[in-house]
Amino acid sequence: MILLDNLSKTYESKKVSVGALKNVTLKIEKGDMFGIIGYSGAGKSTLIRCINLLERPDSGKVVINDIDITALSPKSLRKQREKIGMIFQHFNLMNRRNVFDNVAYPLKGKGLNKVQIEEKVIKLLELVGIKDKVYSYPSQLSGGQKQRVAIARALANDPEVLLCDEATSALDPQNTRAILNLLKDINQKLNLTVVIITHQMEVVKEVCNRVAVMENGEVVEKGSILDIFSNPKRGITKEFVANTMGYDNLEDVINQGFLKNSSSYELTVKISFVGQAAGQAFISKISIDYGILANILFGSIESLQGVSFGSLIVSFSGNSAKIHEAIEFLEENNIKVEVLKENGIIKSNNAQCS
Amino acid sequence: MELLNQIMPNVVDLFPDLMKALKDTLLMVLISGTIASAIGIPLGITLVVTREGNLLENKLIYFILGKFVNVFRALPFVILLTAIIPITRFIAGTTIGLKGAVVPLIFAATPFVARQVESALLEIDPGVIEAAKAMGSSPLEIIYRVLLIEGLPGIVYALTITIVSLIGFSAVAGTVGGGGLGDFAIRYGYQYFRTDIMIVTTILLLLIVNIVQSLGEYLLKRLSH
Repeated sequence: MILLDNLSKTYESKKVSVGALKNVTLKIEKGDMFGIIGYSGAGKSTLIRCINLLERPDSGKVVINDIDITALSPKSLRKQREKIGMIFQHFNLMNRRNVFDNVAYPLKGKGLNKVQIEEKVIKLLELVGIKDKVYSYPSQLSGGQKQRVAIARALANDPEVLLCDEATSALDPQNTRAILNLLKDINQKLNLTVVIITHQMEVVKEVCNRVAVMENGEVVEKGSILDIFSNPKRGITKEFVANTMGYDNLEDVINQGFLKNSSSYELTVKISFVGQAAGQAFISKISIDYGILANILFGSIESLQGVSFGSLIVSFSGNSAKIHEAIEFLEENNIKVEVLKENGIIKSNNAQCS
Repeated sequence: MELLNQIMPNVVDLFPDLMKALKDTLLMVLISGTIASAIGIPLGITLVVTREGNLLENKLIYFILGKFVNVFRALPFVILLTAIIPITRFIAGTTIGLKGAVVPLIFAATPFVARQVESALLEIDPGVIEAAKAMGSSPLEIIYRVLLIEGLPGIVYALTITIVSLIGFSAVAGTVGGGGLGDFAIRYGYQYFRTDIMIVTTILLLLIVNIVQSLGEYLLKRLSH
């Protein structure tokens, strides 16, 4: 378990001091795939560097498995760091060492003989799926392959925690997916705690079970991935979710003139549902039961941690009383309904709201 | 032989002296180069690791070393040569000949090596050093297993440039009685208007410089991946 207790850090430059971290408290449980998301400059890189003290917080404690590592001597800290693997955006492999020697680097001087080191390296390269490149040099590898080598190297000392600092940001979408799957695989196989720093909500959505959102050096929201996606509270979180779910152009869709139907009452709503409810055909049910027309303008359904979660933008038209009854029925079934527009008048000016 | 005698009679006459001068030059460069590297490389490493934001940041050490290196780098070699005569006498017991030339050469080349090594090591991606730190490497381990390994091509290249400069410096040292090819060219060639000696020594110096440079570049290529 990792406990970040009230961490603060300020960078002093010539005239201004920038608060990189402001009283950040986070708890990451063993076996978590924990995502920390934020735009650049939000302090997330500083935060992850505080976990292995590559950067020292000005105040606060970092406790890993009940050991306060901020209080350790340099020597014990180094010992502790062996149990915290880390991978980076630009891989940070040593160019003059081949794949084997890169992975063997952290194994030297740990009381292993040559044969044991070789066995271990080959086993690690097998785990990350790059055994055929054992004598290649980093310059001969693609980005995805380099990150696999970096993961093997990070796992060499059997760490309990793996820190990923924008580990997929320099990769193309295909390699991003492959590396994320590999991380998830390792997380399950080795029961490793994985902390992922990213600015891409897709990454979080793909693999994380918990997430913290950072803005201006503060953690503004944290929770399970399902909570955050289905019920984001802060503006920045809503933005991230909207970008990922494809809501960002909704306003245009809603405001399009051709949707106007002046002859009858019209109500445009956003319907969000989680879990069981997603599977049921609520829209056609209310359309039949209440005799109203339902025009689906937008829809998306995602699966998060095996739970389906989605939202629809629907424009109802017909008898206004019937429509409101239908909405009550939806709400009774734990479906969140938010009115965006009533008879052409915008009710919620933030269409990105979930 | 007859032909050689005709085109460059003086060179043939003084051939044994030319060979001794060549040997002196090579010896001067070799001895001063070795000692300058032995002192300059650790100095360069110290400059890198004590620099602000680096491994063993230490403003005081960096400042003092940096100033020290700059002073010796800024002085033109001819001035340095004469300015440190008391030190040369103290260390070598003499200020003339091979022994007398080696001391100022070391003083000139050491800061040169230090700065070259410093700039070569600064080229190393800080991310790689950060990765080594994250893996639990100690600063000393990082110097030996990361900086020196990753920076080796740069260091080799730095030493190549140093040797080339030393060949130039050694010719200057020759003019104040240090011996070697420079001394030979000035004394027998320039002062007696024996053009053939000037030409032959120039060609010899060019050859040596070229061989050193090519060797350095070959090594650089072999070491880089």
